[in-house]
Amino acid sequence: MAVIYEIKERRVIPNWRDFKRTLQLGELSQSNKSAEPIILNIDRSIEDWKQGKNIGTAADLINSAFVSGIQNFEVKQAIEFIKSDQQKASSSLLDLIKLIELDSPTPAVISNNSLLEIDVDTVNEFQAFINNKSFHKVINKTKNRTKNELRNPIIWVELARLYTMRGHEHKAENAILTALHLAPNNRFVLRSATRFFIHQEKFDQALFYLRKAEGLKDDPWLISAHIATSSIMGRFSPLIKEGKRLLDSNNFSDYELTELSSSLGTLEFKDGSFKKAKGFFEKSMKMPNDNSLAQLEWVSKDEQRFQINPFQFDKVINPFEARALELYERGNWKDAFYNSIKWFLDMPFSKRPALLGSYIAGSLLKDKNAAIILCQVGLQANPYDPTLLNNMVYNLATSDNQQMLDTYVRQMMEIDIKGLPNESKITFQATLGLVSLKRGDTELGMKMYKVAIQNATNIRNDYLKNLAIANFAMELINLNSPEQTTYVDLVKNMRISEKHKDLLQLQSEILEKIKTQPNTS
Amino acid sequence: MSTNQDNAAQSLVGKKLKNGWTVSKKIEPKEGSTGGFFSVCYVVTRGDEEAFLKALNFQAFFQMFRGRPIVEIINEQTNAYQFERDLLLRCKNNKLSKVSMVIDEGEEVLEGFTIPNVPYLIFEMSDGDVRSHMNFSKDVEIAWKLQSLHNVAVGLKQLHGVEIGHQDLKPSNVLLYQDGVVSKVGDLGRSLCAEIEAPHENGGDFPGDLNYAPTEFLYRYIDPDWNFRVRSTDMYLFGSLIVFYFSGANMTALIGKNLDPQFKWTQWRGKFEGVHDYLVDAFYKAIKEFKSSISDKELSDELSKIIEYCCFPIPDRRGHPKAIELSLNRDGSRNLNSNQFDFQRIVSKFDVLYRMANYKFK
Repeated sequence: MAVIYEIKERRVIPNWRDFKRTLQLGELSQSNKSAEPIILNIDRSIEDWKQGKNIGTAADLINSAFVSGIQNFEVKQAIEFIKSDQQKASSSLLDLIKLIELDSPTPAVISNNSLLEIDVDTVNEFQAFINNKSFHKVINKTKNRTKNELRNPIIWVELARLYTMRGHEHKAENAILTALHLAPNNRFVLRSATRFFIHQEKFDQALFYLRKAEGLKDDPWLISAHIATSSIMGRFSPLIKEGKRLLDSNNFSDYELTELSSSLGTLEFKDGSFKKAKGFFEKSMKMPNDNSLAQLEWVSKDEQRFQINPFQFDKVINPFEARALELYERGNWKDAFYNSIKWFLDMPFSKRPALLGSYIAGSLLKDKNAAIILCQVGLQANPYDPTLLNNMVYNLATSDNQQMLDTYVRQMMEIDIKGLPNESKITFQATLGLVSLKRGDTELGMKMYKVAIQNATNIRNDYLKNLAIANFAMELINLNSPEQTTYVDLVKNMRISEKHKDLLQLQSEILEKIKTQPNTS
Repeated sequence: MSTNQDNAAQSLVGKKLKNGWTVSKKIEPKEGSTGGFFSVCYVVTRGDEEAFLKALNFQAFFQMFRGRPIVEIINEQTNAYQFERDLLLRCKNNKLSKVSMVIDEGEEVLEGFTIPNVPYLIFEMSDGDVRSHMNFSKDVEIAWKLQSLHNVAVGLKQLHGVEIGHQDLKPSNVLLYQDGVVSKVGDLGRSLCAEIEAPHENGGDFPGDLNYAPTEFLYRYIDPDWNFRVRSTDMYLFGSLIVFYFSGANMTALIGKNLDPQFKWTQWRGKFEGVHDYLVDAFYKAIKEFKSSISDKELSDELSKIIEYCCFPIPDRRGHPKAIELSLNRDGSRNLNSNQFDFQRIVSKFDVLYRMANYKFK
């Protein structure tokens, strides 16, 4: 059976995007006023221009005007001089003129709160994007750039991200380590590296590079990353106190503090201090980003006193995770699915959007093809992820795609099931049971489903138990098995929480299907 | 009586100076050249020889800085004059062939004026600065540009050889001679010398034109090592000059052009260390842009390599890569005998490039 891999605890782990979008989102800005910007003067250039007007003195003045940000009558004169004889001017000089004439560059417009490297509107477009062979060209181009820009840490991070998106772990690690060597104190590099190491489950390395960064204690973004990573490891970060100090310092904007506030709020929430957590989350929501918004969305699922509507935060860019989860909770499968796709496009190495999207598509929207596509793209960055493989096999089995099924079942069987959490073991058992049923090994299939149900009962996970029963009942109906009566009755009598709308739908589908089935008696 | 009538510095025409010089006429500064507000310029002759005289204009001190203590003003300007004169004599005594030469110096006393003393410097007569010769069209006068840059590199090497850092290299300070055939480094007024204290030295602040400054100065980063700071600055300024010759933009402007506005020096409120990695990213974009301004790929690649190690935004990584490897001791400290910023490699390279271009483009 497919699952959405509900994480037990979500932390405010840094998001990893390309440099351009990270800049546009404002996550690299710094409002801490430790120094005043420099003030420049262009009197010398003006005087030279007045004394001798030629393309050289004009260029000199234009350069000075651009560097200093100063404009005046003489600068305009020099610009007109250059424009009147453009054949003697270079493209760089003309570009400087354009920038000067802009005066104040217009910020890039981000439409529909969406800032994606590439956007799609349909599943077919998504598939075309994923299958785009030019992706390898992008990797190759970026790799060539690293050769020409050996000391540019930004481009090494970009390369690491591209490798990660394709599951090339070793190459990605080499690239990210190079970036860390070049820029051990850079926020963009460190946050990206943190996300990379968490992706690889090398949490100690993430902490190592954060800890040795200069200026760590004065950067709310990095402290938040440290707190989140420590929390994953079951530790308390030694920087919690420093984080609270920054919150009280009045030296940062609300946006700069949003992830830190959210991290601290999560810690308090975990420790059972609702009042303190509420204060931190309220501070975080003054100017949230997509990460902190999704964090509060996650918290609100378990705490009814935190009521949040992610659609009210209309200034948050790329709010796809929060919206996907909210829409899923509301039972709006179609919109939840499309937000999952956008979430994946925003974070194309992350498995969570692929898991959520594939579950919604395959189990709730009955669009097996879309589910398979999402699993495929998720597996590109996470080649041996057991949950993704499980969902892939489930969707292939329920769409009778035998050829691909054999391939992925072999991959699934290579996974050491003993090392998996109990929940994953149960889903594996159920899915393998499904495969057996589809292959005609009815006895083994039924046995495995029953074992999965029993194991879910043993660990007191009612959700998994009900999900396994529902999936099993559906297959028994398909097989017209005599045992369907027993399991249909179990489905009929299930007590399902209102918040598990997916189970409610499955229950409804099963009961509806049984009505249309010919009477077997 | 008007100030001009009582201004000795404005009254030198016709005077016979020591060593046979005769003041022919007062001139406005040459096209593109900079005479400075506190100087009055003349053409002087000696036989068939013609030269350029710069006279210190004490009267201008009072006109410009009313309200400031006069003693402070006089002290400041005379110190500046003496410093430049001493540097120029140092260059002359060491026969620096690619540095604008002072031919003679002295002081004329004109009776009848409130301030009768007129210190002066006599220079070789230049054709103006390099800006008057500029054409930024693609692939125009490449051989000439390379020759000029070679001359400048030689000049900087010569200056460093006598412990002088120019610190204000920019197009207006590259003077042309012999109908533009020869280029020389001029205007040592903002220079620094290891052995002569400069009156304008102020705790390591950039002494030259900030609009051409290495980017670290724009974020108020000052390397505490005097020798390192001075030499690395000259190297950056030379690389920036290369970019200007071929693209019309200096490197600082190109970096700013490719830098996100929030990180620009006129906006950034943090430290240099918080922004220099983004400067590196912008720098490489600037290099790429520069390469597109030259059609000859081989030349483009060669110049780009030179610019890359001359203008790298982080001073510690500026200079030739091999020299950088040798510039660090085993414990990571700087090797004081390093030749990280030696111009010899650059001189040799430009000599080759000029000859190849001369052969190719003629």
